[in-house]
Amino acid sequence: MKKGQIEYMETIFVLLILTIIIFIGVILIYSFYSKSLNEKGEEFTDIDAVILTSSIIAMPEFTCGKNTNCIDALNIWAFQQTIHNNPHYKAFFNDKDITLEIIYPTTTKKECTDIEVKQEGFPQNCNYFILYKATTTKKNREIIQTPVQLYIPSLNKRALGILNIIVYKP
Amino acid sequence: MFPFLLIFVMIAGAIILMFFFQFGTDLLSTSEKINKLTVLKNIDQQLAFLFQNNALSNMELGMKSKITVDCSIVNGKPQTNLSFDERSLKSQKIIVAPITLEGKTIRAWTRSWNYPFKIENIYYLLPGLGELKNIKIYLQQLPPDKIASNKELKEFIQGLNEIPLLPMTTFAQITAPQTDKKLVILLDKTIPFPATIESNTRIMRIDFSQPLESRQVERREQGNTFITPYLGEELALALLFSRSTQTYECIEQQARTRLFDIITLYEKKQELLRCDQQDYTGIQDLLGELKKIANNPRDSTNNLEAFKTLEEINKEFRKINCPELYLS
Repeated sequence: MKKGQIEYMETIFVLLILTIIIFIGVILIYSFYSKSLNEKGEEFTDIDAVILTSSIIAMPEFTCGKNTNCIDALNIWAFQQTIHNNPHYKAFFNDKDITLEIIYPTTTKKECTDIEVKQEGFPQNCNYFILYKATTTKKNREIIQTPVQLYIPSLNKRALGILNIIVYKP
Repeated sequence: MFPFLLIFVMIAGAIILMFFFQFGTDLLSTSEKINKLTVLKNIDQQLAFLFQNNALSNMELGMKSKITVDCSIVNGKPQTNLSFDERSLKSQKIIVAPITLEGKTIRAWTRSWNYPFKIENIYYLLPGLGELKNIKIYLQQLPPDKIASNKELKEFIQGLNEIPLLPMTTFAQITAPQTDKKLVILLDKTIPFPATIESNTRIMRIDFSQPLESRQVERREQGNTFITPYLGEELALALLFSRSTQTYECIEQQARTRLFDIITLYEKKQELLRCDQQDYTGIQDLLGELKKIANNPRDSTNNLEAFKTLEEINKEFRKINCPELYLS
């Protein structure tokens, strides 16, 4: 092989390596950027969850009145029985599981459905309400918990509960 | 050989340069879209916390922004849209802003719409202090004895005065204020709508001397008058602050849908309320009256006093230690 041909091959080789390095660099930048976009997406999901947590306690559908962090048990029951499937709530709760767990006084570990709420033993006969159930297939999830006061107007009694919001992430 | 190599390097270089240019442009454009969406999310988040203190809040947006708030009907359902250029965010809140909000800050406050129980918070947005020149609110000055003798009028004026930093001035004559954009509130019919007004002036008139069942809210802008039944001061202010009467109609539909939902909930709730001293069946009828208003507030056969009666009955429950339908 002539000297000129060798130099030419060397140049081609250097250019080839340079192109490969540049492409690897671009792929790396894209992957980092894509990762940061995913993180931003998760951040937005977290913001949505924070907005939802602060909103639920103040929602007239659930709140006891002007007292903060107080939820009316009969409002939850009436919500489950009537309007929980309305498009407004589907859009508002969007892919989140929302439950209210009664932690004091200690009660039977069972869901509070229409039957339990109408029984004489309520609220001792059940320990959690399902406010909304997500219809997502996503597995990655995060739980946000907020302590709340639960008021039962028919008995004029108060209980202590935890509002659980399960956020599903991509 | 040499010219071929030169051409090859130049073409390869040009392709690589174009690729990087495109790549850089895409990155900038995506970052800009994310930043705009972040601004919109921040507004939505800050509004969610605003309901707790009902005070006016100065929201720092972090960048020079141009926010538009609108309401549109999508698939028959009203929907609030916050937009920043081409980016938009659907919000479940009822938000009104009279103009496009430009600048780095937004001022916001909220009022709870009670009819008579809490239905929804209505959020009002104004431009930041730096952009105040673009908007000013003028309230008709009334004699103190006239205000004192009308409880609802007094509450309405008190409510407006409780909003801190609201750029509001009272006036005796409508021609007095000279600003770029005026929102004028007339409280009775002693000052008629002027025959000619500036095109950028919006006038709202509520005649509190009228009884509740026949009271109306009028909005006049650019010679057009829009009349709607009075459904509380929160919705009256929403009419003043809406970008257009179409936007207000969309907002009113949102509010009425929420009212209907909550009445439905209370109708169910009262089934489980029991008290030896009081019967709850009267409540059912009143809730039915409110449902009619929620369905069509413009129906002349509506009993607009129903919400006051319900409020009185609910207070009565409290007095005799019976469970209330709602805690106020």
